[in-house]
Amino acid sequence: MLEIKEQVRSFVRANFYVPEDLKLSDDASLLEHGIIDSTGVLELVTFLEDRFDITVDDAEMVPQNLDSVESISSFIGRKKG
Amino acid sequence: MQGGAAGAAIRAPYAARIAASVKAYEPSDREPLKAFQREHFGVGSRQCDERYFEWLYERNPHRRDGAPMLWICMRDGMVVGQQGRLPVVLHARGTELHASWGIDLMVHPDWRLKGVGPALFAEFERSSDILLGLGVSDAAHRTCVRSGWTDLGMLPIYARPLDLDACAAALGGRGRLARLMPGAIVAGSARARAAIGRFRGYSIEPIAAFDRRADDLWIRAAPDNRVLAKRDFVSLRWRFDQIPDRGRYERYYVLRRGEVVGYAVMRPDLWRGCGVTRVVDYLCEERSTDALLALVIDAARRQTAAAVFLEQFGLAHPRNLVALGCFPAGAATRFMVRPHRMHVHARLLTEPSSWLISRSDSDSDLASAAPS
Repeated sequence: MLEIKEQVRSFVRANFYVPEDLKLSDDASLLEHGIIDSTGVLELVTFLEDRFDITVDDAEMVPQNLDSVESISSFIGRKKG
Repeated sequence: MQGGAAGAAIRAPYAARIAASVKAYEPSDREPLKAFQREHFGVGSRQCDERYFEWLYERNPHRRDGAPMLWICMRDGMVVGQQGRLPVVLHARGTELHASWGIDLMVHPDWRLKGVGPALFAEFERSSDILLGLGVSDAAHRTCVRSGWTDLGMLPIYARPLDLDACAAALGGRGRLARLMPGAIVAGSARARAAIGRFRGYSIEPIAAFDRRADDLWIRAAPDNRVLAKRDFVSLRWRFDQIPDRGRYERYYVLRRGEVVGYAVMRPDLWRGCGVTRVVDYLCEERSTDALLALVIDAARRQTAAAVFLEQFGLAHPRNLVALGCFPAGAATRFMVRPHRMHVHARLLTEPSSWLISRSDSDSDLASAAPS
């Protein structure tokens, strides 16, 4: 799980604007902090599908699964489990 | 796109599935689209008015045969998003360029932040070498910047008070008005300038509709500008005379010794309870700008408007406006552009000072409600 979190965190930092003073903690909301928008969500999901060999269903495209490093990691864990 | 290939679609990446759900609008999509528009724009909106739909998407004179004007995203047999475009011909240093304004983007709330907006917008971005956006929202701004658009800034609004008492009352007192108004307003009298204009042979006359004289004006006035949307007779007739609520607009020709040297389109409006006039478009040879603006302000004064508002982007016109007693009164409409990166005019098109843009460009000045 730790490895998944770090991969997600690295992707977010590398591909989206994260203010330097924002620590990007595990539970920080990516939407509320303006880090990802509609286009960003699409890029994030494409990354998750490629990297973790999963397919994201329409019903899974919800903030509960994709709004923070923690929720994304848990979501990947459930999909892989 | 989803039906027979459902098995394959489930295995396809999410982004590909969403992209495959986007299609060019066809007349057979009208009923589901109308249901979507009624729910998300409102029953009384212009988007739900058949006359507006036909005017905007079918009668635009710059539409090229076969090119999509509207895209929709279908999920489970329902429209969940739409993106329109408004084709326009730009005049840039003597060359005509085809471009498109992005208009009428709407996504069902249940489908926001799920890639529908970007998928629709991607189709729009593929539609033209030059993409334009007016009134770009803060949310869309970030997406556009990431997609390579250039932010050219906000259209400044200029105000010219005509009835000082009414304007002061609207603003909550003379002190507030005095703080907003620079000293130049005292010196710059539109009425005096209009008198000078008439002395030179200028006059202004209301017209019921544009005519072929607009073509002669366009040929003479266009070269004074580096980049602007085509404003010939056909374009003006479509935009102001054939629009379903054409009664919103007042059209004027400015003449010099009987020859048309400019036009202005104005629209009565309410501002803080005051009757005001908005100048939504004008064009003239550069040497006639002072006279045209002075005559336009004077025409509004004769209609007892409390103030004139003008929202325009470009060239030396702010200088002319300040000289006529207008003062900057904020800015609310963001203008963005994205020429294809290899476009021969990319540098010209991404330079803010190149452009003449008025509020009537794109859909910014279209009514939100359908005409009664």
